[in-house]
Formats: sequence, structure tokens, C-alpha cells
Amino acid sequence: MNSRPYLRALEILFRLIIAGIFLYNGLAKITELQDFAQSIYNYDVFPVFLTGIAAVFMPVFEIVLGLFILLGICYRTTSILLLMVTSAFIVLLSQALIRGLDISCGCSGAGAGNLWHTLIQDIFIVGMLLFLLQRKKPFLVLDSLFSRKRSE
Amino acid sequence: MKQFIVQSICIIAGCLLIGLAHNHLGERIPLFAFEPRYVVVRQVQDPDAPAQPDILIDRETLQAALEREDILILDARDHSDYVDGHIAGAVSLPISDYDTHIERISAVYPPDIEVVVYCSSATCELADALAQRLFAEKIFSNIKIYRQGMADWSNAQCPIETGEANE
Repeated sequence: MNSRPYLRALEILFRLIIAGIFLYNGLAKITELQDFAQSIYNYDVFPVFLTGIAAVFMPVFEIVLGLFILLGICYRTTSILLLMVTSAFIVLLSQALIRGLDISCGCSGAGAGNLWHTLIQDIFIVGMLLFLLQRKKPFLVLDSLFSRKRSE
Repeated sequence: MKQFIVQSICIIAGCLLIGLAHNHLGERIPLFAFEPRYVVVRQVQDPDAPAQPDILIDRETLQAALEREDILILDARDHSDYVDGHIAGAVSLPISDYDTHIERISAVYPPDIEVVVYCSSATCELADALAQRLFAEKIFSNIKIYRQGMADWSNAQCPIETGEANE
């Protein structure tokens, strides 16, 4: 199954899409930390004292996960972390929609991002990650380079 | 499983350290004492003023102010929402399309005019973001936020216009 070229192409395509989204969102947030902290605050879920530290941590976390999934570093761990983060985003967005909060999601910088669009996007990302996680031998990952060296 | 836990801890700790370093070297937001934006806007407007949210304006005051002509009401929502219905006399300045409109608006209105910014409702952040930007770029000096926004205005059956503004 792993050897089928179209599955490999799909794997690379999904990794590029996920990495692109996470890198773009992370870079957009990291330049506007104050605005991103305000976006977190607007969700009205987190304790206020955690808002600042979350705003400092999340953009870097998204950039690192984006880079790691692209290059295939700590591939399975990164995929699972991405799955957990995206699922958390889905819960966060859903509760905001259910409660009727009229906020922009803040997902890619200040005032940017419609809740519904982002929710649908995140559901697609979860689908792509599940596809990546069920692949037994991931293609073009740096991890395999290290494990090969170790076994030599 | 063990590998996942070790790698996760390393990634999370690394990201936290990089984030803290970036915050320390750059924008420097308070880590454990975040203040919602209206207080921040207040501080931008007048750093020596007490941190009271008197930058906010309520519906009654806004209604009274509307009778005068020397007031500019800015709608921070998307232009399509503005076309669907806005506070009578308001001008559309979507934060998402700020750069396209701000030059035209700042050419028409003097910088010391009283400005009221609003968006959809009390949980909407667009008005705050717009006010913040107008302060920061010193476009207008006298800005207030109508936090309850369009939801409150239409609930109270105050005058609403639809379509494009007659500027």
C-alpha cells in the first residue's frame, strides 16, 4: 500500500498543505502578539492570567509543528501533536459558535479568520492528519535518515 | 509511547523557551497580567489617565451625539454587513480592508473630530482593533467605542440605514 505512487503524492501534498497553514498562521500571529492575546481573551474560555503565556507559546508551537511535519522531524509525534492541537481548535471554535460569540477567530493574525471557515478547514486538517498517521512508512522524512545512520 | 512523551515534552519546552525569548526581545506582552484591549486603547490615548473604560460610549449618549453633525461613526464590520444594515450616518471602515479606505476617510474628516467605532455586538473585537489602529497611527485623537454595537442598536429600534452611504 505504501508503495503506491499516488498515495505518496497525496502524503506529500497533505504535508505541504498542513505545513503551509500552520506556518502561515504562526508567522501571522508572532508579529502581533498583543492582538493574538486579545483574540484568546475573546474566546472567554481561558483564565486571564494564562492568556499572555498562551499568546507567547502558541505561534512558536505552530511554526515548529509546521516545519517538523514538512521536513519529517519527529514525524509521528508531530502528527499526533498536530492532531491534538487541531482537535482542540475545533472544540474551541465550536463552543464559540454554539455560544454565539461574535468574534473573529484570530487564527491568522488580528481580526482575521471567520469561525465557520476555520472550523471547516480544521476538520479537513484532522482528516489529512489521520491519513498521514495510518501510513506505516512515511515518505521523504528526515527521521528515516537518522534511523538509517543509527542502524549502520 | 515513551518516545512520544519524551519528544512532546522536548518540543513543547523548546517552543516555550523560544516564545519567551521572542517576547523578551520583541513586543513584550505581559505574561501573567494580560489586560483586555479597551484598557490598552485607553493607555495609548492618554498614558497618564487612570485605567478606566471611559473610552466606551453607550447607546443613549451616542443617540444624543448623533443629533450633532461633528461626529464620525465608523463601522468596523465587513462591508457586506454594513450594506445589510448600519447605524444611520455611519461610514464603513472594515478593519480587514483598512488600507483601502483610510486615506479617503482621513482626507475628508479632521483629526480632532469625535469618532465612534462599533461592530456587531459586545463580544465583537473588530471595533477595538480598529480603534487601536486609528490611535496608533494618529489618524484621529478622540475615539470612543460603542461596545454593544449593531445588535444593541437594532434591538432598541434606533435608526438604521441599508446599502451604501451617501458620503
